[in-house]
Amino acid sequence: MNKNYFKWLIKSRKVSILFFTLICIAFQLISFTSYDPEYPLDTFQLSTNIGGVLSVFLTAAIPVLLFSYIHRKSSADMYLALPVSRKEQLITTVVLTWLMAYGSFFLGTLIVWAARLNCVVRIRTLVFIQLFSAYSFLVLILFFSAVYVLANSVFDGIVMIGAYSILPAVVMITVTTFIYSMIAGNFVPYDSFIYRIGTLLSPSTLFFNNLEYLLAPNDGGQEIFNPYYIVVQLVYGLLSLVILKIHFINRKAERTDQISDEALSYPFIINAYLILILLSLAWSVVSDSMNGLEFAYLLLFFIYIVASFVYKRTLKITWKPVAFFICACAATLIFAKAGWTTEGFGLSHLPHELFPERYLHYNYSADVTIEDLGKQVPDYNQDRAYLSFELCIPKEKASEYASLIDRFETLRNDAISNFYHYGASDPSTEINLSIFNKAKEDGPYMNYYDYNRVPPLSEKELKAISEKCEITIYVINDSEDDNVTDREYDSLNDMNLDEFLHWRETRSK
Amino acid sequence: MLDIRNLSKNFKKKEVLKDLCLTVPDKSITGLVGVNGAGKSTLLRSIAGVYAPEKGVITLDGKSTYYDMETKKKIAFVSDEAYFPMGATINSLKLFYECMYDFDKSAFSRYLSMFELDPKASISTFSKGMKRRVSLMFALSVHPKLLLLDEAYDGLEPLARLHFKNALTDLLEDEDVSVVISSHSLKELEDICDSFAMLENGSIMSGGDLTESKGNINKYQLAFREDMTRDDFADLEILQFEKEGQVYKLVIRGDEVMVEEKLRAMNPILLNVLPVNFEELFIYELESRGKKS
Repeated sequence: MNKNYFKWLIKSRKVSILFFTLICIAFQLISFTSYDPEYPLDTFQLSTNIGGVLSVFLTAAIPVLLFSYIHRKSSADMYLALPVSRKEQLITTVVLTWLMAYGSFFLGTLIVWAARLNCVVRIRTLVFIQLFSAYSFLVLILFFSAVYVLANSVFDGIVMIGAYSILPAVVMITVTTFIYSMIAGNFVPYDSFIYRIGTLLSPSTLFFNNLEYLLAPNDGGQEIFNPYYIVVQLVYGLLSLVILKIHFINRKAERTDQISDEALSYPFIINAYLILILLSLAWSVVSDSMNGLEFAYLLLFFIYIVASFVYKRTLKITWKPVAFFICACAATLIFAKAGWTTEGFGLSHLPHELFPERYLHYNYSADVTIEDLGKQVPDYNQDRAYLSFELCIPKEKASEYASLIDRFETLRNDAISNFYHYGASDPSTEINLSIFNKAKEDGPYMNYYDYNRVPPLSEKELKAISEKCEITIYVINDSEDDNVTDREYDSLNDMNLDEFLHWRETRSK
Repeated sequence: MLDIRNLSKNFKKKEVLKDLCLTVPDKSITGLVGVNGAGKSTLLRSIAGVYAPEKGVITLDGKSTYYDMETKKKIAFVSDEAYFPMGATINSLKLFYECMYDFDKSAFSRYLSMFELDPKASISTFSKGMKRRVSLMFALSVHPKLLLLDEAYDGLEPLARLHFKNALTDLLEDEDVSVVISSHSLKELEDICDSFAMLENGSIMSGGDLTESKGNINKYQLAFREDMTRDDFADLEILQFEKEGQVYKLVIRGDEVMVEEKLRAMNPILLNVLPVNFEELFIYELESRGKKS
């Protein structure tokens, strides 16, 4: 760190530093306006979250201000000719940014804690929050600085920060679309990294997820403080340092004010967004799960061309981006088609264990005809019965339920075949089968598979199942010729199978 | 002494500086001239440590101007596009130079009154010439060992130019300063430079002591009884050949005495020798290069 440079940064920006620090602290203190003596922890959580959000904003905003000189020719001449090495400029700027971002967070949370909440929040928790936040803010400063210096102008730098911040969400959308459109059963193991891919790709989310646990270890959305996230943050920090070495310390100053054509800048961002969105569209096209996609393709093409204009700073349309767009469309469609033909790249047929946990659950629900519960209702504009049951099989009784398990496994395979035969779009009527495990009867769902387009169970099979668990049936009156009166309808809710069969017999007489 | 050895610099695939060598002695003012795109600004930015040299070395008193921060402290660079932060005043910039360089407050006060600048006024309200004066004032106030001026001298009004020239002279008298000035105004450069370097396509085309170089190229006005052609002067290095009636105007490179001797041997009825100025020197050099290539 260069003391003279630091001194100058502080002296020349003392007003703005003071302003930002006070604003951040003031916002954190706002949480006291909703202070409830019965829930004092809420005040601390709110204050810390506000402080976290503001500090994360500062970790992105301050590097934009302090490193903007490399993006202007005249200021680059002035700063890069200084008797301060670029390494020292980088370290000094990062230290100042960290002091501002973490300093305001530290002071804000400390004031809130000391003022009223020191009896609610243990000092150990406070220290842990401070240490974790201090580390996370440093990683975020390095990350945002690295992303900012990838570009060659202030505007492009801000665009890069925005684009890299949103990219994890786009990746998550593409992955989720794939799971729901391309895999029959929508099954991905609950602890799969796929569900965390958005978090893992976003240094800000990594911070907020673990902070959430630290603030509310018992009722947080996440089960435990994830130490692996700290390792992932470290990886981001190290990668950012590599980028900063290449694009700041060894920066070619002549890049200033040029188009941002470095590999990780616009070329990567535009193509990554294009491919991810095209993949999402392609999953939907081949699985027939969405309508009006022609418009989406057209809109995407328009956005792609506009993005190319922003990147190249020219309004000239050349054949290259158009050809690339068409090729990318074709390639993603072919890739998605290959995925559909191979039934989700084989993911729908991954081997599964029936009893990885103690309990196996089959949850069946169907819209069927009143006359025959084993017949799927052709459309919703008629009277029908909605039946559902959840069959819970403990591992120790697996042999007793063997025939039923076989039947449900057949249903599962039929559902998979139907999914790839008819497409993923919601049918007008459907029969659903969810298969999952539980470690305890009242425990959370595990290994959740969800199938629609399941062939219906016959009445005979339903009768056999009703001996093992209760089947609930609702009669729904949707037909135009009102066969069931409202008064009758009220009494037809929540019948079991025997009651339903009795009602149906009486009704037919 | 500034020493540049085999300096090369590329902008992507374009080679802007090619194996460039240049030496600028202490207590000298070197004029850097060349057509647009010749590489003058790139050379100055490379010397100032803004651009990293791809090949070659640039040293000031034997130390790298890019890697050695103590050496960088001795270099003042005034860019062609002066930068002033939004809302900056001379006083706020003073803080910057005080923190970063060996800033001489008394010299600063002296230059401030010399250049007639208001230290409290926002620099953004200043005219282009006044902004130039601000840049030059700060560059002089840090007592540089090497002063690099990239077209910073252009656009100064006559009085400010005179003040600046005087300040430079004082600086050169008192300290071992080297100055490198690039400018398109060769007449102005001629007034203050003692040496020059002409850049063409990223290389030094010619250079050296200005007076000596100017003495090496002269204009000759001649008249002969009979008609002469360019071929009749084949043993002389003719840079320009013009004929108006019986009067010939020649620009010839070479020792004035020897050239005159040769010309007299051709029995002219008129022979006048006229000196060339820096601008003419530059033009003749460029033209002769064009003809050779």
